[in-house]
Amino acid sequence: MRELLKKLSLAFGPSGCEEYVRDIIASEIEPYLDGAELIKDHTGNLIYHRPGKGKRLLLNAHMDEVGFMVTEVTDGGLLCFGNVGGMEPLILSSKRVISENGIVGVIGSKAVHLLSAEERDKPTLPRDMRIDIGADTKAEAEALCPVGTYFTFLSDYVEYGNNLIKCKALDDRLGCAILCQIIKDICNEKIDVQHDLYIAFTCREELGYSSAFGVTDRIKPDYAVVVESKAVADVSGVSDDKKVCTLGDGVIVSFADKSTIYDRDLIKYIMDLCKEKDIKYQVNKFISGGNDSAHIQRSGGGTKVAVLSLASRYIHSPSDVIHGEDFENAYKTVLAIVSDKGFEPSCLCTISN
Amino acid sequence: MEGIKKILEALVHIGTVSGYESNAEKYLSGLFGFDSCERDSLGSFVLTKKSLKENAPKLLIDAHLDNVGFMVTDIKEGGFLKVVNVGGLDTRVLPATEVVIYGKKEIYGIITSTPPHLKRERNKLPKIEELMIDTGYTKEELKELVDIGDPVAYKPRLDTLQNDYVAANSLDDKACCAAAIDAIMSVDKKDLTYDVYLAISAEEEVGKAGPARVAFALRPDIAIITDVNFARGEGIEAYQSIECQKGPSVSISAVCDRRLTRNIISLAKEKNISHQIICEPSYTGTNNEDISISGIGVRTSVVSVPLKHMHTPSEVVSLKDLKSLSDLLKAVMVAKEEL
Amino acid sequence: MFELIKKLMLTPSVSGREDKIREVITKEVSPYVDDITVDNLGNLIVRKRGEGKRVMLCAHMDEIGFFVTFITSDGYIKVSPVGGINSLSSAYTEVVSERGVCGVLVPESAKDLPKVEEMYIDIGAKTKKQAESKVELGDFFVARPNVKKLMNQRYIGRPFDDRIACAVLIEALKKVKGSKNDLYFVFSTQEEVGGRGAKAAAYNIAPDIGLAVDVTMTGDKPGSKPMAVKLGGGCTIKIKDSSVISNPQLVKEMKKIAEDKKIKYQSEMLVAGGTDAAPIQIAGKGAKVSAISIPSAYIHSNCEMIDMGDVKEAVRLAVALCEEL
Repeated sequence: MRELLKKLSLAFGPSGCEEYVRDIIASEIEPYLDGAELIKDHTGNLIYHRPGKGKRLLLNAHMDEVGFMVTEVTDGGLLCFGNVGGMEPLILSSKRVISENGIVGVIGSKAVHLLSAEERDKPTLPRDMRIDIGADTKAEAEALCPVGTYFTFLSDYVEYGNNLIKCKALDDRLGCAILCQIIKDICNEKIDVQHDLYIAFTCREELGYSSAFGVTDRIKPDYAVVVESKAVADVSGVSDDKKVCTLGDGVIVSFADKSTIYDRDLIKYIMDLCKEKDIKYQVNKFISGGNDSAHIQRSGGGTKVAVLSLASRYIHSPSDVIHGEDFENAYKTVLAIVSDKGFEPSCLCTISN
Repeated sequence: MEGIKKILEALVHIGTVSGYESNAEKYLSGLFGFDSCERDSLGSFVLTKKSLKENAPKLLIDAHLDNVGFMVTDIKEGGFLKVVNVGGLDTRVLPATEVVIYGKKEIYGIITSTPPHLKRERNKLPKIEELMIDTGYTKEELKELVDIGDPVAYKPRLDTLQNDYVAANSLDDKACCAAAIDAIMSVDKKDLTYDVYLAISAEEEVGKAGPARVAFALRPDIAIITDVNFARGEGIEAYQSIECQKGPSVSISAVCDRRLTRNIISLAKEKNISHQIICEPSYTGTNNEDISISGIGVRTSVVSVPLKHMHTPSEVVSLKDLKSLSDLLKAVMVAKEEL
Repeated sequence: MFELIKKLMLTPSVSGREDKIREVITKEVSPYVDDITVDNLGNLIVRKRGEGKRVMLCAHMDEIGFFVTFITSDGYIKVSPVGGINSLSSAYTEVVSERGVCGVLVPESAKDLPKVEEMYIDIGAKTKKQAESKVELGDFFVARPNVKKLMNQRYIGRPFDDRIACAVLIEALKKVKGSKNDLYFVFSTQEEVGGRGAKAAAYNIAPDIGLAVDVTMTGDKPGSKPMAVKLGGGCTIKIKDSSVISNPQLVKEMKKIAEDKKIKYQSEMLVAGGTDAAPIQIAGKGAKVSAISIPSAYIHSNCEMIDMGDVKEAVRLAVALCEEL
């Protein structure tokens, strides 16, 4: 699963340009369909459907990552750019980036020596930054990277420290890797699926206009589980109540974040499953962030939704960091959910007089 | 150009934060084509290639080896290191940047970045003392691997851009080191007008302590100081910068020797080596100022290559400019007359 | 009616945790209706069948409050806001958890107006262990619910937003007789975090007409924003707020019905804030919407104020609209 995580994370796939990631996922899982259906829908989602008798369960991970898009080419051959997806402006300066067609660039700004004392204390904002690909003229830059060209961070996959994993785009290729593994496990008969199971790899989560919305409307699942990463601040010196969660303390079963209040019965069910299977999990200790769950919950007539997250440091940078053990635990939790007989909501009822 | 690129790639992968230049000893002493490689008390390397002529004049070429970086000041819970800067850092580039800690072994780390939900003010640059380095180890393990004072540098990586530009960490001033090494290696001893001393000098970024000592010991007849200068670009005025792809600049300055400078410019013209002029009236900001007044005084000249994004982990230089610098240095070494 | 209001107000249920209030309302309405369903988002949907137009009346069951996010080593409880908490009103007030644990919400600094994240709840615990035996991460707290009568048939307490509207809907559905319309009374969830429940309910019901029932601000208190609505001036018919512009044709019809029935109403232009009318308007294929509001002073504080006269008019209007629209 690590090899696949590496391959997926290094793949090029900013929001709206998910085809490379989708092709990798498709070629990974096609040999393991074993009678299941694989739908490539009109908005770019890849949906695996294995019909079954139980509840209709949707598992979801998004394929896209944050990136950049060229908005203008300057007379000097530099590229002005806009963000694709939300990014902390402070991490951009001097990072290396790569375009869809493999052109490497540097996000440059004026040398620190040439800044006034006042300017030195201020961050350079993205609108004042330029991507420098080494082009000497406007014509040359335009030929290689015309307006509209996508860039992502240029980053290596590194395993460091005690089982930490670093790469760009771990958000949310980790979810994609876990769900691919689940599909393989089903084919290899490691799992006895107790659901009418849908696994969706979706697009454009980072923009907030997620295609998960349409997927949910199409499937109308009984309940859905999103596999994601969650920004945490578990660094030394941050008080415990603001760390959100800690790397290595297990998969996060969130009760709420900024965009969604999760279904209480469903998260309790997942926590009980974790306890039963002896899977390490944690609850979030600060309310922040959001993900595809919001779209799934509020699509159509509404869906019961939960999220399994991996604590991630420095998210949306060339250095997303997750813990290898959390990755395993998230996988085990998804495995447990898929092979369980299913979640019975307590309050869903109809009384007719 | 491939030769320069190869040397450059090797050099940027050696961690040489100011004061810790010794990591480069193995590489430099193994270089082919020099008579000797020695280290002085302040850590500068002197690579020598002597002319076959008796009593040849001495030419000192200076390029500094050290780069800006950090030093470990504290080891915190959860495997985080506190650091201070060594040399003038650009704090804008720090959050979420990858580094290497040169402890008992090379340790990978990432500079922390504060997530938005913890920020009291948006878009405020963090001070270096607010940031830490994430190593992924426990405090106890880290104490075995790292000592207070160990150097930290940006994680080495060289990428090729368009038009023979390369992006890498510490091109300031390893780009010039590479060009100078390339120039000296490619000259035949019998052609040398000078005994050539290449000072790959230490501690330029922290007060230029190293090179003046070398010059004092050597007492060279002339010295050429090679360094990087600001590349022209958006918002950078012409008077404070030089243009990329137009060759090295020769500085016209009151702190350089007028005749030597003039001679170097005519030599470049004569040999058709692309070059440009920059005027730096009273200060060049390089090792020049210290070398020129060492010992009985030295005739000096400053030759620079344009560098984009100086003091960041992604400095950018043109290999063509480095090749021109190498050609110019070669021309000086084999000049028919003393310059 | 006051007993019903009291019962509804004294059942704490913040957004996403509406199970208790839903139980109370279910019991209250089940003798009077044809179907009751609870959907995926926890909305309670009560139907009185009819052949005519599909009319959805919607009052939200949830209230603002706090989620427990952390327990400190000394046994203090850190919380995060659910909905638009007024921190000025929340500091140094008594709070109570869903398990009935009492405590006080205290700001870390006595000087500056704190953010909720800079406050803690003291439940009297001496150690983390003690606190953990009473409170779990994800539990909710609310400012202590209460209701008291003042003069001029005015009442203070919390949460009038929006239990008073739940009471209006319950009274209305008890009183409605002989409506030809297909009536849906929706007690929605998660309004305080952005109308999340109502949108799903409206999608499923696909109403022709949607009417939110909620509280609105008034313009007649010292320092209140300029607004024509007065406390005690009757219920209101919503023309516009920051989230929705009511369907003008529908507003005209509503006004006519109110005038015919001699119901005391005011036209409402709410300058800040929104209701479930917005999500109902844009769910699925869309619906004509407006809202009936009950004027309330000091909304989202611990002493919201209403005038019982306005409440009675709101019930009359709701019944009239069910029957006449």
